[in-house]
Amino acid sequence: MNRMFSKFCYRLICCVINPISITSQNLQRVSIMIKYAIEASSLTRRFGDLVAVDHVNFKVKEGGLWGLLGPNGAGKTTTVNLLCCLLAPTDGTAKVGGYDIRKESGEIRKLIGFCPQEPTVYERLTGRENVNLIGKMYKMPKVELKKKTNQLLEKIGLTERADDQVITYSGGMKRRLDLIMAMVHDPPILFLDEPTLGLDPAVRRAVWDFILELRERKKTVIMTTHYMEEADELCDRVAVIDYGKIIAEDSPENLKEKSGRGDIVEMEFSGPADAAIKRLRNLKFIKTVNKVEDRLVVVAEAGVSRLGEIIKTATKAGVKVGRIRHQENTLEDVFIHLTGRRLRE
Amino acid sequence: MTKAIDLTVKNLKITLRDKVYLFFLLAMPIMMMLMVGLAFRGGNITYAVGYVNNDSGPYSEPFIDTLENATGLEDILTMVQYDDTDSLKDAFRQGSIKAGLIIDDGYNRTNANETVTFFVDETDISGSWAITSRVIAVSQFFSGESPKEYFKPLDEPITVEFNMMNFMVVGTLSYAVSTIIFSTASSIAKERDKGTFSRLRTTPMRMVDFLAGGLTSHLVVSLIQTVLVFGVSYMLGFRPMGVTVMDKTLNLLAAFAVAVTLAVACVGLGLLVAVFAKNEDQAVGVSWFMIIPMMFLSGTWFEPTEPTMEKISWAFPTTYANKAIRAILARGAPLASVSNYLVGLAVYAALVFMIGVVIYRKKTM
Repeated sequence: MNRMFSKFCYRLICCVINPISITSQNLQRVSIMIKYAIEASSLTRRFGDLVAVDHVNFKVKEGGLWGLLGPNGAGKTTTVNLLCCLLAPTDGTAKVGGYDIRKESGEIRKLIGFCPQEPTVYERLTGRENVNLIGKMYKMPKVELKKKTNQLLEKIGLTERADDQVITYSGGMKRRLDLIMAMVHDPPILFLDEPTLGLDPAVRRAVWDFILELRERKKTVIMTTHYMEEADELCDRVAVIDYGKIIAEDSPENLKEKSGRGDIVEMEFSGPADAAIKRLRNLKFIKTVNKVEDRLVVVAEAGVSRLGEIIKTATKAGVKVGRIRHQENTLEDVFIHLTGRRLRE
Repeated sequence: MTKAIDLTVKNLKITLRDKVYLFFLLAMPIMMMLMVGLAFRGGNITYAVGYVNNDSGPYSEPFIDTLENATGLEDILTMVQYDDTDSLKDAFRQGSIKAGLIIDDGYNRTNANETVTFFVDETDISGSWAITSRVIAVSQFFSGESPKEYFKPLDEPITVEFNMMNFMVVGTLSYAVSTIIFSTASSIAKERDKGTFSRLRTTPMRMVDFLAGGLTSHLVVSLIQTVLVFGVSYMLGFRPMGVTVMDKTLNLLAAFAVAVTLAVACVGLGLLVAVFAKNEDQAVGVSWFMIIPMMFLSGTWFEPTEPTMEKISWAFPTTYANKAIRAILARGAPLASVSNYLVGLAVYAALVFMIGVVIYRKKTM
């Protein structure tokens, strides 16, 4: 009876997760997959002397929307390429859908959808032909492929231009087409590498809605971004990566909490920064002080109402304070707190 | 298999929709064939050959007469008599004649090569080739012996139909097919540069599907090129050798088979170029670096005469193909008699293609 029930559950999961590629032989693996869609263990990739990904460890729960946040060149794309089996790890390994990226790339490719950082579409094919080509690689039945393609084109607003060659598309349209190509086969795990890079705000919003819908459908989404508001808005959990190392991982709320709840006060300054930082850190209501470029970034409880005291303390240290800006704590501040640098650097 | 077909269809659509690319692949060979065909049709060119006959015997006059009016051969030589060697040399220096013959006294059927001095203007490559071939062939025919340094002894004398059009058709065909190196290398490098190859690699596509798709689509393009080259040259007067229509058709099909084998070798070479080129620009540059020496050394437009260069020419697949196709179309040789070239080409194609596939797989995995 128990066995029958577990088989029933398994079938149900198969229908939800991926009706195409999961067979009964994979029951054991699926049970692992329900827990964690991805498990990276000491994953490392070197390019000569450069360590692009440096012994990273993380787990992504099935159905979660996991963001990899970091500046350009931090190792985000390399991490995704490793997980998509486009690169072989130099050291360590990872499991995607319960399959090892070193040994079982063929199985992993059946489970994933991949939207690369740059639009990677065949410009001389039409939008529809591009989507169909990917569907055919997954051996999708013709009728199902046609239905799914039409659905997705409609949803993302490309139906009218679907039969035009992609060379006539705008950058935003190509990006949207890229997304459709990543999900036409309804994969349980999706990798989106900077999905909104270079998009105008309206298209970015549309792509966000699309990604949020994926979360509602319990797809596992791994997303890289260097837009803090994107990670904040979309991700259940965010890993902050810098110089190939994951330096923090938690929910956006917890990350912000850890870096110090409170107001952010940014002051342009000239003069001895070290002395000012030392004095400001002595104030009880101040949580952190960092020098970022030509500014002092102060995280303080009720920082706005205590602005006068902050300026006075800095001035006493011999610093001349210029323009001042204050705001609520963001993931950008988390990054500054962790690295002393801005994300865009 | 279905994935390979889908990828073939994708490649063909991309090729056929890119007008500039299509122009390069299809219109260029047509244009070349038109230019070459129009330049060399309307009968053979006639070359003036001067001679001084110092012989008083019975054989020299018929020899000269045969050079000018050989029965069964097209008239390509106009023989001009000079009184003495100095006048002959002056005429040669002035460019009035393309070649000169000095026949010594005592010329007979057995000592032709010892008593005839022959010189030719080698700056005119096609002219010198045509004149030399004719003089040697007639000398051989007239004397009844095979000059050992030129020909293998044959039981029966053969008639070699020198026809510039036949020569140029093979050259144009060979050039057209060898551009597959460029199109294969650049299309694969482009897939890599644009990231479309990486995208396909995240799907369950196998490498063998990708490569089979590339091979098939490029073969289709080269087949179209071959049909176009033969079609245009037929309109301009090219006819393959053969006694009956069936013979001619079979010869044409045999030449077709050689062209397809050459195309496989060229796809393999394109694959190798793509493996080592870091981007599309490099792939294009390296391809031409390969195609141009191939054109000059492998007998595409003219035969290499320097022995070392002749040896080097066997490193190019076009050498095997040119020799085989020329033998079939210009001399009516059956496919079996050019099997040495064909086997050489097939082995070359298989080796290059396999090496290309192995290295490409290794580099991309």
